[in-house]
Amino acid sequence: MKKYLLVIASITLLASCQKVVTLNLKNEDAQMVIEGEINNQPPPYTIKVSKSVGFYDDNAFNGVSGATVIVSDNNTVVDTLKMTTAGIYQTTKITGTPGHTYTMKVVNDGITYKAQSIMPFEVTFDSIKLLPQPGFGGQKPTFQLIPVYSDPANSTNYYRFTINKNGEQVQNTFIDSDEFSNGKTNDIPLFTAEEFKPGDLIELNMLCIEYNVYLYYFSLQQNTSSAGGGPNSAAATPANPVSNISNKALGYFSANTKATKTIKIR
Amino acid sequence: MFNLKKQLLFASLILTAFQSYSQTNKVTLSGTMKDARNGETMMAAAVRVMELEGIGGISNEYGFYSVTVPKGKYHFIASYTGYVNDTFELDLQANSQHNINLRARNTQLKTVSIRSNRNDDNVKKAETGVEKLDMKEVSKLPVLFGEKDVLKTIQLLPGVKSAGEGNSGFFVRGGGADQNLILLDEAPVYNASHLLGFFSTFNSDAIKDVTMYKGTQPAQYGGRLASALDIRMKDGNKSAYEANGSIGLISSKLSVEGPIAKDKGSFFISGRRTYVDQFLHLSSDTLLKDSKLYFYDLNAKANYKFSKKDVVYLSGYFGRDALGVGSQFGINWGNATGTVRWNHVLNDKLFSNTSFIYSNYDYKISIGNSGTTTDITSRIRDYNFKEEMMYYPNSVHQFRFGVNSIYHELLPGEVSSSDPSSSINSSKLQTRGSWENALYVSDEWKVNKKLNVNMGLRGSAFSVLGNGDFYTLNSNYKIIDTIHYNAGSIVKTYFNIEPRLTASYQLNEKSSFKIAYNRNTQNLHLVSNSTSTNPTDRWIGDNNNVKPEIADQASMGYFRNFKNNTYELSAEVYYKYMQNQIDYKNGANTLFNDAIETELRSGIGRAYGLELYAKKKFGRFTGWLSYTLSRTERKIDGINNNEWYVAKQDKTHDISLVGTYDVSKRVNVAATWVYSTGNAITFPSGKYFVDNQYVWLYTDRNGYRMPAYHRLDLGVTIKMKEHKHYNSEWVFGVYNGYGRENAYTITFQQDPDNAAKTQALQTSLFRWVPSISWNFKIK
Repeated sequence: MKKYLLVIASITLLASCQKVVTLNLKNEDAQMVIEGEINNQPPPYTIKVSKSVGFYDDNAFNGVSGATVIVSDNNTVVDTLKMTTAGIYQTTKITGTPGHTYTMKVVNDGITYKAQSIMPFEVTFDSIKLLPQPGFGGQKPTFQLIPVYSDPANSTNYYRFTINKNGEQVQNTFIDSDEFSNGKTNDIPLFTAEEFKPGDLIELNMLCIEYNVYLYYFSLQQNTSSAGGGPNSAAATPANPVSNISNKALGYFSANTKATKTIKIR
Repeated sequence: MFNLKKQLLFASLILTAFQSYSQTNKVTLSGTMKDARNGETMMAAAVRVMELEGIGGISNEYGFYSVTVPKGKYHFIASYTGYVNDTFELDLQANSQHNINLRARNTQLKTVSIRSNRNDDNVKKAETGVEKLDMKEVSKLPVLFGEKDVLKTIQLLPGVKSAGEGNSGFFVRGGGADQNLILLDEAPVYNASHLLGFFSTFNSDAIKDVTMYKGTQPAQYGGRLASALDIRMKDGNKSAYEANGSIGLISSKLSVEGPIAKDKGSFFISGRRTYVDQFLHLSSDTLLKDSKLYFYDLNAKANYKFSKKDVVYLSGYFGRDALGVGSQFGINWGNATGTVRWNHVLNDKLFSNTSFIYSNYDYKISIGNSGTTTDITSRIRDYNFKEEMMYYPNSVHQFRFGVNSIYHELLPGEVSSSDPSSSINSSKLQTRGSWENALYVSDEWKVNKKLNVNMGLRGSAFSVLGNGDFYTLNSNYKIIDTIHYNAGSIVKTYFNIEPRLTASYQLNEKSSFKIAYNRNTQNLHLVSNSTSTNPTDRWIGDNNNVKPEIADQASMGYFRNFKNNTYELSAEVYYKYMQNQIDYKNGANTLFNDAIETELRSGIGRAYGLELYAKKKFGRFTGWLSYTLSRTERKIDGINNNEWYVAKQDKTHDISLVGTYDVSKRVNVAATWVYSTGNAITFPSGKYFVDNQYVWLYTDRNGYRMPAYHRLDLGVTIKMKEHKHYNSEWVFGVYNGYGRENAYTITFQQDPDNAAKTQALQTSLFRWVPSISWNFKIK
């Protein structure tokens, strides 16, 4: 996409320029943020509870202490989470299992936030395929990453991917659904401006997520791609991502499977 | 059945009206008004009877006029701004025909700003909220890259706002970009922009006439809420061959016109292509070399006079954009329209126009991947029939009535893959068909010397047709039932009655007061998640869930001319209430969704404003100042906590200052200055941490403003020495002359120099963009 934008810029002969501006942004009251994931890897699992900060405040995880966080597994095992550091709560009893229903309840300042998520059955993550890209302006070739897996034809599936490059998470949202590829083996690379070069160590995680969580990431993706938009931004009227948690809490609660593959590019 | 009854009622009303106006001791003079130089028919030219004050006629879109007077000998004056008056004397004892040829004034006065049949037309006619563009003026004003554009000139008029920097999209009186009816020779153009909106689909060399109604459109226009923009292509020179061309920085144009048979018919062909991408081919980089970015247009028109009473016109437009990066990504889109039109003079008082119209808009996105290509296509197509009659019973009334029937075919999307073994399955959304019918009648009535009234009634019916599955939604917009309708069956029909009324009252010779009320409805909707039109925005029709949009607009205005009509001044106010406005819900899945209505929310809207306009029409210096003060708001179910919020196109203040000055016979300088409040926008009011990255916190929809926008453009036109067979001119311009960094976008990101902070980044496009073009004419 970077290249695509570059082409447009060079063509329109624009002397386009960018500058940092200071805007008078409202400092809203801090809002509740909950991020929780239960997966099929060995426990414990973490629920993060925090509050939003002002735009011009320092970047810091504004953790909430003293909240009551409970996750129940199929309504049989009830697990009250323990806080490790401010805002980080960990499970003690449950082991994530595909097909199980997980219910989360967070109580803070007398307000209860609830969410439910069913862990989908796992789709096998076969391998990572590297797709070479011609170098731009005579540079060395780079690669795009294709997660290879066969989508099961008899179910509707939603996927999420995360990439760690040399230990650092690539700041993009990668999601997919089988709407146009039901029953097919994936051969579409993950689109990102990030370049993967020889020497890079790549860790690719594949998550099978449920629809509500897909919707969260879908709406998140619309908002982050080019917020505050000009005429051609993805969403001219950005809004908070659609959360599956009650009482207007931001964030999501997801029960999903997770599989990891690593590759060293040569 | 219900529909048929209404039709009959209409017909009988019309008939009674005619009978009461039939007269016997009067005679009618009729004919065609033409430009003496090239035989182009002239619209809105006037004929007056010297002996009878207030009696006269005005030519229609095809140059036809009709005047009814008592038998006798009279002096007639035909006039048109910028043309020499033609005076003739006729002894009328029976109905007669007389064609009028008007000669353009060969002085500097030739360049006038607003064309009107009479110089005080703005005060006297029962028209309000109407703007007419003079193509000669459009050609003088400086524009981005020197590419003349009627849609950009229109944005300089009161009540019309630009959709963004260098953008050809526009908003009228608080309406959305899709609420403008854009007609090219009667054919609707569904996406009037090229190259991401920087250029319009209208090649200014091919255009003869542009009229815009700001929600006050007469009954013959229907189907859009905010405005009707009626663009007419040139007919072509009837007496001699000529070629016009232009070579500019980013595009070249050529048009050829001439007679088919002397005084019988003519043709006009014009083409335009941009060629920036040709420079890319020089690049050594393979990706740049294989990139595409161009558009082209082709306009063609021909007319032939088969008899004194019959003229047939054929006109067509074809334009296409292509944008692509290597073989990885490509998108091409374009419009095609075609019109066959038959003008028939039934008698001196009755003029008929029959049209068959086709229009098509489609786009195709191609994504190349490991040797296979996946295409996504979408299309909207219209087959349209119109029959209109104009009836001039006497000099007091002018009737217009007609019927319009359109079959719309919408293919929202189709995905196909070139390789069946690829991971993409081919699929197709349901093609939707609908049938839109309208009947209308209007009367331009001179009640007395002071009061003019234009009243009309339009009845519209929109039928949603099978074949297809239709969804029943519950109150949470979830599908609870799916019903299949077979081909040919009607799912639902929406009826609407749209009254239209404009009245002008003459306060004195120089000033008037006007009022108007309009109801407009809209059955096709563009659902868009971006501020301006994108090629991939999706058109949808009404269905069992999506209802017709309805707008009621009331407006009034005061019009005054000074110094023998050299200066004109107007002040207009309007209030508009809109129903069934639609918007996407938050986090809508917009792409490739068959049950799109589950993603839409509906509500109401209101818009109100004040428009001031001052203009100098004649002299070496001409120009205008326009100012708009307005507000546009929406209240949509589920958005902004169901509270009123300002619409994205809301700009509180909007000012345009335009001037052109004839320095000498050969040199003209022009300048435009625009200022507007930044449009309403949603900015983050905070941030929070999820998935190891920052997410912006949004609170109120459109709760912020972009910075104010202003810009000065300058231009010089230098005419070269005239030769017997050719002449030429150079046009130089600078866009954004003082280099204001206007905000195109403001984005939010991590501060690259300080990991602890986030920042807002403003991107500005064009500063000091020079342009140069050379225009020529060969005759």
